[in-house]
Amino acid sequence: MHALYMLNDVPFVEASRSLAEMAMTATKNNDPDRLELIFRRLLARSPVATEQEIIFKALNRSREAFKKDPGAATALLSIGEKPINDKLDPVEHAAWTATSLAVMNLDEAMTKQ
Amino acid sequence: MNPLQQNHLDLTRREFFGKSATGIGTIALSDLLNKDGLAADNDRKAIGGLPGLPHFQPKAKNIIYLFQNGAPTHVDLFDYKPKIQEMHGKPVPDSYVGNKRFSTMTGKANGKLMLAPIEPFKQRGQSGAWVSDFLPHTAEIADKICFVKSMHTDAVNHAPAISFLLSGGQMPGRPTLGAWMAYGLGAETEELPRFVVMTSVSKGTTCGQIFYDFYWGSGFLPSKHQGVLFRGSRDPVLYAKNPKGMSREMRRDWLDSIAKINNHKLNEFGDPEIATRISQYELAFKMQASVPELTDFSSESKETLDMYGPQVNEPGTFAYNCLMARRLVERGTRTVQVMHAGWDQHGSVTTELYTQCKDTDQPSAALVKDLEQRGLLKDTLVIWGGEFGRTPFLQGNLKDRKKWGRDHHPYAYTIWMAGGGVKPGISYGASDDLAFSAIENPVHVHDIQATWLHLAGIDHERLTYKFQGRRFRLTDVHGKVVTEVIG
Repeated sequence: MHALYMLNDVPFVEASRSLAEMAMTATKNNDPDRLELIFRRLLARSPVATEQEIIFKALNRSREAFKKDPGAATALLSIGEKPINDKLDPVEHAAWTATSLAVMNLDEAMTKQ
Repeated sequence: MNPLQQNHLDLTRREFFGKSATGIGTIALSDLLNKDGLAADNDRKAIGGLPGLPHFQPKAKNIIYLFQNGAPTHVDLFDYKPKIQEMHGKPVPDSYVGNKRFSTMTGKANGKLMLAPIEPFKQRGQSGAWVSDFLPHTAEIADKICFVKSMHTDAVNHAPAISFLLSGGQMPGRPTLGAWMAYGLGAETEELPRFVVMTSVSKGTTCGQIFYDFYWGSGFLPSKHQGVLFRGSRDPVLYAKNPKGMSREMRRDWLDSIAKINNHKLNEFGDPEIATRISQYELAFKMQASVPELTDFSSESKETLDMYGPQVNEPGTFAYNCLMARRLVERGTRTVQVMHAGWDQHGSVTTELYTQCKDTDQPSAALVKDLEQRGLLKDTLVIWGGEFGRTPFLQGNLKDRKKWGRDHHPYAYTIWMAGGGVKPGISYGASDDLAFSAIENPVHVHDIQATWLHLAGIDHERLTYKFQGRRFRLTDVHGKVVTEVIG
């Protein structure tokens, strides 16, 4: 089933990690700017307020989860062949990886409109 | 169905009731449209599906279609005609052939030599049904089976004929039986797909039938109703595991976020495919948990496993798929389409046909017995059969027995059914004395489709969908329910 493929397969997880890395290094250190980059890359637009609200809530919960379990953060970041960028805080990086993966799986990201 | 109503139902059900004025209007309209006045009383909770369905009390809640791709030879398996034996090697009389169309391998059938059945037939059980020695296990359960010996179809080649049988149209693009069932009746569970497909091929078969995905397609219905094909391996569904480091809770959290955002898009655009996407992601999440349990046969008793035969533990075989089919309907999957290829015996009725039967006979019978033992048979319609029959005359050289075969034959063939409200222990309809044409109570593809829907509590003329300005249904504009096979 394609849903499982896009949520779980290595190329998508790795690409999400890469995109998260880009968001963390190419922007100022704040959530709105980072999310803006991710949306522009995947959806060619800025997020609207409701989308920001929904995503930031989930992002914060992911941060908490990875803070509690740093091993999980490393595990997620280890998926794929690209070496982990060790200059980035793993908890942040993992949380943004999860965020990118979610945006990648929005209907709009997959559908040509 | 009223196209306005249909349009609303293409969106989420929340939308349907949410749009006040038209929503309330169409609810009243659906009551008026329902000829029986009240929706059929059914004690099973259906998720999704159309209002007012089932149209009347169903006999079958689930369907397991054991589809024999390639077309099994009715002459050698079920349709015993002593006259074929007598006429072995003699030319088929012209009166039987007439102007009938055959596949291009045969062309004109005049002068083709009759071919006697390869193995002996016997009458079985109390019903006295004729079943060949090719199928000893099926023979044993003859009294549980309703044989339809007078099937006939319009197509002489596989893909059109299969598409015809499964979707009502010879050209691909129409919704298939499982999709109509999902669309009309909804699901019994949210944990597994409503319509599951599994395929298998006998080892060593040279007949090369392909499984096109339009054999389980949703056509113009919302695509969430299409069949989900399970892979024939240890992992029926790939990528079922979350990436390392992502817990099920975190995945659930992000799925909720994705669904919320997708829902906003759905409200903006009204594209039903977005609704499909949302529900598919939801289903995918649930399947991550439900599929490992589904494929874990450790809870099955040795007796049950033995009943299905030696291949039951081998994923990708018909036996394995049959057991999976039982487990799927137990867990609420509405339609399971088990497709087995290799029946296209153009030159192998004396060779490969034996393997075909060996691979399918025992598991088919075991499935019926298994369902019965668990009290599921009365609610599950089991269908066994292919897209047409095979010619009573020989394809090949009479002197070369090893390469004897039969060509495609649409004018008479046999399928069988068990459970789900079907009358057991009968043979309905008959072909002529050379198994050539269905002459007694002929049952056309559309008639059997109407019957299947009827058993599921659906009036085949009322389950329609408006597309390209025309109301389509599984039975197109034909079909008459064969009431005589209903118990």
